[in-house]
Amino acid sequence: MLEKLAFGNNALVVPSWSNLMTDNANKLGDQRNDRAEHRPDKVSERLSKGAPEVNNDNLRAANKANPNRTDTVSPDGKSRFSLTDEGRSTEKQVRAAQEKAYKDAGLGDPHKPIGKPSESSFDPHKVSEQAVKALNKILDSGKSVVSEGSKLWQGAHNGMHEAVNETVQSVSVAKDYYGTALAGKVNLGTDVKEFAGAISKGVSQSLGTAGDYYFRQVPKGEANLGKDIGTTSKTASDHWNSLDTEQKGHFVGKEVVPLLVPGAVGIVAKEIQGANLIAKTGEAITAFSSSENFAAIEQKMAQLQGHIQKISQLAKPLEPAYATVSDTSGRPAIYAETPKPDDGILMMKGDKGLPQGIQPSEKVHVSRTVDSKAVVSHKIDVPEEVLKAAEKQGLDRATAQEKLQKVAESIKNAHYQIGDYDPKVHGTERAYGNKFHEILRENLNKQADPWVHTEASYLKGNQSEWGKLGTSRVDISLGDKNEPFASLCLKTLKAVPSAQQERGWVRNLPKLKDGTIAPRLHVKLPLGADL
Amino acid sequence: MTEEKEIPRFEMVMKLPYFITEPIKLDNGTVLGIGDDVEHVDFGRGTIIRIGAYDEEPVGPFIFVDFGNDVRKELDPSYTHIVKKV
Repeated sequence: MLEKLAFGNNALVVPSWSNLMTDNANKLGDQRNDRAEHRPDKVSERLSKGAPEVNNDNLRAANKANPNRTDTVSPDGKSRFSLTDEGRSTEKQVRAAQEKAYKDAGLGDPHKPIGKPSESSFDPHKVSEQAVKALNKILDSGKSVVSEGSKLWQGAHNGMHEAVNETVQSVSVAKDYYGTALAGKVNLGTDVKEFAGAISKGVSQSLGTAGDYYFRQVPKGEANLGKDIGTTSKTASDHWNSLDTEQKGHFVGKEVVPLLVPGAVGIVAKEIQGANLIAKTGEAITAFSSSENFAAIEQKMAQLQGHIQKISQLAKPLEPAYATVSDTSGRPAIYAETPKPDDGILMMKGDKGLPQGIQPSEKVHVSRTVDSKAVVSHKIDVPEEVLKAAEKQGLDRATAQEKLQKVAESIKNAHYQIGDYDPKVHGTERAYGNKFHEILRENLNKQADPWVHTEASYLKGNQSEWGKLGTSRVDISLGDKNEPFASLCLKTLKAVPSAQQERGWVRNLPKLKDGTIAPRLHVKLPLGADL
Repeated sequence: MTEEKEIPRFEMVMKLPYFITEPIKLDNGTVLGIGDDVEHVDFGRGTIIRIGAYDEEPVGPFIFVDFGNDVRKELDPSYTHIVKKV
């Protein structure tokens, strides 16, 4: 008869319309069956089964048995009866109970004479009333549901409203901030003096350097940001113009410089580090100068100085042997008997030095830039001769540039991975060099570039197996492995290529297609700051 | 001997950073140290494995961040934000 309607956590109980109708129909059927019991054929049936017949005598006997009833005979001979108070009360209760039962069952007045079912008990009006009541109940429940839902919605709405307001405020703040930063750049041309003023108040020559860098970077920054700033520029300008000079300077110094000039941060960090070092050095000198060892060392230094002077005097007779070939040509002096020292990496040791007359190495610089996504890249100025060699081997210049770029990045990454040389960590310098090569090799091999080859071996102009007797191995060869356009030799710390290595490369590495020798790049890694 | 003279040799000089082992403090107050996790707009979340600076512009400092899957980048720390402090 009852069903549950669920709405969120609220379970509402309402009558089921279909069950209500079914229940009424069942009651109606029972009542019809009762009435059928009084039909003559049903009475005969009961009599035939031995049931006591309902007649006046039997009723009279039953009434006499009722202790609350008194039967009398009137003078006209008619029978009368009366009930005690208790009997009346009981009868009222019975009647009331009977009426209630009929009413509850929807059967109307029990005292009405029994007639046709449709006339006496099946009252469409009552059924309709019940239906209306049931519907009202459902509607009431529905109103309750709607009311609860409405409260929930209102709460959600309020919450969302607050959230939206907060977001709008945040966006507004962010927009203003961004716009202000932008204005700092847009108005830079007119605010240079203020900016310079901020710097001079500011603080130091280092920041001035940062400022120079800042000026160089501004056009780039504007170009990068130009796409995004259309809608905020006006607000930004207004905001910017509302600031007084000091505020502008303060803003530029505090917000814009760190934003655009990572160098400024570095300078500060470096200065701090430098100050620390100076302080430490000062402490060390103070401590050392007061020690006994200091005096002893000073004495030995003086003795050494004396020895050096004696040696110089003894060497004077040998000076003519080192006379220059021509002191009057106007050209720089060239010593005839001394080995010709090449700069840096090509300086050979002892009698394994390079043959005379080899041209000094040309230095190729690798510069660094920071792009708009904060990524540092190392750009190499590839020598013209290397680019020409690539073209001779059938590669375009852009590809050659890209490959060298990739190598430079990998070298930098390898250095970051392994760190500066530390004997406690890496052992010998040779072990450090081997580890560096290993990491670089792994980095490059993972990229699987078909134009970059690590540890390539060659024998008499052809590619060969690694480790085969007589082969020469290069750290990196670029281009087609069989016909590379350049090779790279990586030397860390104080390592230098031996003359034997040099000769082997000349003999074994493939020549370019025009018969000339492929260029070789010696990658020299400067010592770390701690070395 | 003659051929050896003809070899076009070039010396490629790379400026490598000196490493800073102590945490650094940026101008915005953020303190970054080795082992901190930072997030980059393109590469996602990664761990700082080195902090370095250079002797010449741009001097840095720069952080070297390992983003996993063999992706490691040298970045300007001002453009990243810290997500986990060691």
